[in-house]
Amino acid sequence: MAELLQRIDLVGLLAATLVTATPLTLAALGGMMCERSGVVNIALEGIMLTGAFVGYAVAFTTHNLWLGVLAAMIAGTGIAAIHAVLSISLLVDQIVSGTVMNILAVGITGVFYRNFIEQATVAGPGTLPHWNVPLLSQIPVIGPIFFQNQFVTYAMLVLIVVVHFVLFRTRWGLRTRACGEHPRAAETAGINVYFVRYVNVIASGALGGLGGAYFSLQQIGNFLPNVTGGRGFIALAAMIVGKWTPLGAFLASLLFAGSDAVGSRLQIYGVHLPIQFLGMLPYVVTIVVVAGALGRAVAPAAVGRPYRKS
Amino acid sequence: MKAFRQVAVLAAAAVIALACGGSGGGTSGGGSSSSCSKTYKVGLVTDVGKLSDKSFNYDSWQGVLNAQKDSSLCVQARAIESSTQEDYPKNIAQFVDQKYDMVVTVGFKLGDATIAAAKANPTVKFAMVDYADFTDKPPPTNLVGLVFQEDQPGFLAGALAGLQTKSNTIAYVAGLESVPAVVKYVKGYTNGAKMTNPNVKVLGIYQPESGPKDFNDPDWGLQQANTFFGQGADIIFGVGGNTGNGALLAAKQKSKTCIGVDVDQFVSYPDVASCLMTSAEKHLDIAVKQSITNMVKKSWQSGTLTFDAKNNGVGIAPYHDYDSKVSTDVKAKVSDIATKLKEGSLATGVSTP
Repeated sequence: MAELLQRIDLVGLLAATLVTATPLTLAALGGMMCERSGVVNIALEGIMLTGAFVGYAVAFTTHNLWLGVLAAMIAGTGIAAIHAVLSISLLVDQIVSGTVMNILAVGITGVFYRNFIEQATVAGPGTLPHWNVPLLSQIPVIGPIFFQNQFVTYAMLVLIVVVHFVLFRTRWGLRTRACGEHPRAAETAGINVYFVRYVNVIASGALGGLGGAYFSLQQIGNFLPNVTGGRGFIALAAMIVGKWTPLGAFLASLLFAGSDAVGSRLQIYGVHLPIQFLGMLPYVVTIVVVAGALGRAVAPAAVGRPYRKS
Repeated sequence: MKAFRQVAVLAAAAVIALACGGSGGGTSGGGSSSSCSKTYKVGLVTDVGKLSDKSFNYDSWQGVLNAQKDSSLCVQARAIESSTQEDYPKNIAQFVDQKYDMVVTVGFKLGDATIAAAKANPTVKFAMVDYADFTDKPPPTNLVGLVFQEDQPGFLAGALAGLQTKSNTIAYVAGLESVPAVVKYVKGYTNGAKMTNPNVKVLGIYQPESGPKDFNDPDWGLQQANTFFGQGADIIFGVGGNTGNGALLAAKQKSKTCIGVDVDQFVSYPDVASCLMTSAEKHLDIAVKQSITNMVKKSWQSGTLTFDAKNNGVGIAPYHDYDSKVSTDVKAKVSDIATKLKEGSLATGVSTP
């Protein structure tokens, strides 16, 4: 029995799930801020990729991982700011603008990577340290899952609460949601719709950039072309499945991340299925869940529509 | 007006993306010595990546450069770096068009393009590094595939791991099971460990096929390695490009021991130097130089050239920083096994196709 428990290592599985869910949750939180204010942000993939790259480049040059994290967030806000200008002020279709940002991010990070980073022969900046929270990390089961993590994962846990509070417990959150549901009415009530949308889109860039830091600075201590591998899009799915709420998005991210972790562990447990099927598991779960296994998700009414001031 | 803006934005992005995407280009080698009656022109086409990748491309290019330095061979060398897979046939054709005597292609991904070029240009010699899959296509006589007995360095690494493990549990995180080299490393590793330590438990996983993430998913590799550490493993063998590198990084973070692959990863991946015990190596430079020598000395062999312990084509890398953590007794046992593999008195138990 003990042998079997050690083999299954449920605690390890859950810990891996939480870690894998980190970038999904952060990007989903960003997407939520954005969409709640009425702007679709499919640029999250590009924002994360840019964050991952710039964060790594800065950490690599300065040998300071924390400057790297900061730079990742700033880079994310930069891309988001361009998206904001295009989609809010210039009234460009938000999907078009987001797609442009994604294409731009793949191209630019790829070129800079090939020309500056790939050839470096010195050791990289390493990865963010593991912090064991005193006392809490010693609790059986809970400790190893929640309290022996790295910075970005802790930040994600805190930000779930913060974003929930901001969206649903503050005046700013109310205004944000008003802009996303009925911008005309919001403006009539004296809210500056453009300002609210700008701030939310840029905030989503910071969240996405932090999600990017997960890849290059927390997990692999390196940058690879297209390292985010579509996680930004899965995060959008998580946001929708979670019905545009922070807790819902977090749970959906855990579901996607968990199916990923289980998929690869089935092989380790010696389940004799072709590994291609096990690799498919997270995608199958995504499709099934998004296709409506959890009921209809209703988006903010005005999301995706450029708002023209009257 | 709005439509115009969108078109303008898209066009601008397309221009930027095009301007950025079109990198690549040539890298030239040095000249040749003056005492040659005929100089042989040798071109190398890399897999996607740079000559400076400290791995396959770099080591193969060193083999070409070593041939160029050898004044008895009269070789003049150049290389082209491929930026995408679509570049392979084009880059090979560049050398053929310029009447090169021999083209070396790096990595099994160039296999099909190389075979096609060899059939179309019977007067040019072709060498493919790490590929010789001729099962359903008889090789043209101007083509040689350079392959390695990866089970031997895998066996040595496993033997060392079996002796060094304190928990009697070791592990591997591997690339695709559909790549024979990966499987040979893994099987050799497993058998080697079981020989020196019959009680050892070997855990492991192959990466599922996932397109662009094949051999390129360090995050996945890291998490698998952490799983194995959770199951008691204290040594991990990373066998699969960046995926395997993720496993090495996990070992470094968790203060476990790691073993690298293909090249001396102490050099190619210095981030993990502190956990790296050794690397299971194949000596691409030796193989490439040998194939060039065969061409120049008119002892050309087509088909498959196998590099193993006997001709120094494979081996394990120095212990480097781990030197003090491996006892002289263990070192002696490992070098004894290496000698026996070389003599042929010991087999790895892995059947090689």
